[in-house]
Amino acid sequence: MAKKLNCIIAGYGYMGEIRKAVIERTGDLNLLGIVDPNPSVKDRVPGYRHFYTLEAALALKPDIVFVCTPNVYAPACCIAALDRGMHVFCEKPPGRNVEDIINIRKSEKPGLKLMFGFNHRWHPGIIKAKVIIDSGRMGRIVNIRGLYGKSGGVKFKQSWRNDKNVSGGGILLDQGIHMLDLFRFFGGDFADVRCFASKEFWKLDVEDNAYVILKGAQGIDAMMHSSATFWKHTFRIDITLETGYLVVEGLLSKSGSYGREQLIVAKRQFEDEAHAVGNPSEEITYFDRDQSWDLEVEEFVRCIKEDKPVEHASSTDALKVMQLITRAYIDAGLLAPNEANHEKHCHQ
Amino acid sequence: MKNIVINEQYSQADIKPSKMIEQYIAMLSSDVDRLLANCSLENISCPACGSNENKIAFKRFSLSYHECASCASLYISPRPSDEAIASFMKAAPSKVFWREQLSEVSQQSRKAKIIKPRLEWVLDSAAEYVSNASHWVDVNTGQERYLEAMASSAFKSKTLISPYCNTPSTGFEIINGSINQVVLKTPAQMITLFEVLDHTSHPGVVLTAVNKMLDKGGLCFITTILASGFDVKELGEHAKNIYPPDRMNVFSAKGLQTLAAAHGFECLEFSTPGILDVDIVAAAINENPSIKVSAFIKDLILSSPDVRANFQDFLQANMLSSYGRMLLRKV
Repeated sequence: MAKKLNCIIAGYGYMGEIRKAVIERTGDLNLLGIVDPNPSVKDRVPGYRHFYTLEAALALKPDIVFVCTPNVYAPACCIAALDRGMHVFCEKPPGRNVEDIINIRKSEKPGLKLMFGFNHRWHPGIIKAKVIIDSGRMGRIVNIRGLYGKSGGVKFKQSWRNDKNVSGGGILLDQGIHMLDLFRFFGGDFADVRCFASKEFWKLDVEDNAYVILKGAQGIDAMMHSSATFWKHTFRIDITLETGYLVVEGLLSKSGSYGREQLIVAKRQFEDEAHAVGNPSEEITYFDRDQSWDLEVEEFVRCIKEDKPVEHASSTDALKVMQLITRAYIDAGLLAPNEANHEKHCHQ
Repeated sequence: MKNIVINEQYSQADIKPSKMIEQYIAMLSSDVDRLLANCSLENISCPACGSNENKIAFKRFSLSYHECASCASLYISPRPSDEAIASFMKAAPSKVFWREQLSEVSQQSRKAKIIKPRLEWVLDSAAEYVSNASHWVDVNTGQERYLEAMASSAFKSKTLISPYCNTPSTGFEIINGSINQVVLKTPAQMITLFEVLDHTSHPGVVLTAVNKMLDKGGLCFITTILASGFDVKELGEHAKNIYPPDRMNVFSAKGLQTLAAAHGFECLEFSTPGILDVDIVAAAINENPSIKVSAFIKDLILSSPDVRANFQDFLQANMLSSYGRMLLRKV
């Protein structure tokens, strides 16, 4: 039997619990312990060692560190693990700002694998959409439009996600980052970014709505509304291709609040084949099993075991999406261009 | 598991011209009489779930369709052997008429509405689940349009297993044998069973053979008519798409899933993307007003095209159409 990879989880909140469940399901991994400063975690993880500090857990010399901490702590955790020769799987976002991911990347070394938790790439509707796009049968992508939002959430105002010192940003950095990652996944890089953002509804330290428009480097333009004021939880990405369109709507999630995940595929009606163009027949695929958490970790383990480069959700992907967010914040006036050299970092 | 809804528009007449279908059924009746006069019959339990509890649902050409008390699949018992069915499929005048005349008349529609979508289903699923697939095996298709589509695909190896295919090899290997006797030179990553389980005497034997031929993680594509579908449920003995030996087994959705799970498969997709259920019921009632259906169904079939289309979408979304497709993965 192949040797299992030993791992630890740093941070045992919502994501830490999800990672623990994935690790327990994955036959390739062995969980050595969990790091969290909260004493109550000890009782919540019977059967596992509990550590109050990352240093103490790293002394076990795990093969992998899963970083599931609030954004402010993620860079230091990643760097500490990478500097000790450990592979790292880090939740998104990769820190609070673009400088954080640049610093993390400085600790990357040949042979060490670093991957980020952009799990939406592994959602079934997204996988199927990618297959259709890559087949080429609907032509090239013309443009992309995305909506992603929620109605605040439980204890929304008290959440660390809305404390700028801890999170680094609001709904765009927390949730919109997934949509921007998908824009890049489908459409490649973007040359220009425009953004309006607002803090008006929740009156918090961070934005509750962001409207982002992107000019594609390869001609694929995109736009997104990321929101904490969608009273109906919404995930929707529309991809227009030359001879049809794809829509991924709904998102399989723990709560089910984003609706049943579905992929709509339709072929464009041409003028010579329909009297009334613009209302084509659609094929809808409904999905009822989310394996995204497992698939991304399986891919990460595969990269380690086969010593192959991380091609999905790599540190380059993390850097580029953080550059887009930083440029959006600057354009929206949420970040000063000269603040912490963000402008410079965004053009590296 | 996933399921799909296809909001496509075509009519029964596009793929099954009614006059020719009547001619086909008349020929089939004579052919089945000859078949039964020359072969022995075997009693079986439910081919889907194995239950022996059943009742006779209706008779066709002196053969009895039983309804399983456990999974509600319909199946013929007693029934001819696979060998007798294979000979029938190869040489019966009705089957030759189907292949050479009926399917030719509707070939353009079939190609666009049935074959192309199925090919896209196969290719997309291969790209999604077995991106390194090199060997595609089709069982018993024997129709030239399918073979053309299969031959044009990019897989390194393509094999057709059919005891009655006479088509010269064009880009794939043809094995004229029964699936449970075939030994492949290399394992397959994809096997297609388009309307195959419907007319095999022992579906479990076929799935066992498919499982053996597939690599671990390999895919099996199944299309079939479902007893749990709207038009079959409503029309019962009046259903014009259920005739032996083409439909020896008419599985319910539950029965088909039970059968697949019992033979080492995980279900990745179960869909009923049928387009014609409402049209089929409407046509049958128009032709034979004595068929008993509820007032609701009578109103439904007289309603506007939009209402009928919406109802058909509802059937698909809730897996209640009589055309089923299933994507299985070997575990």
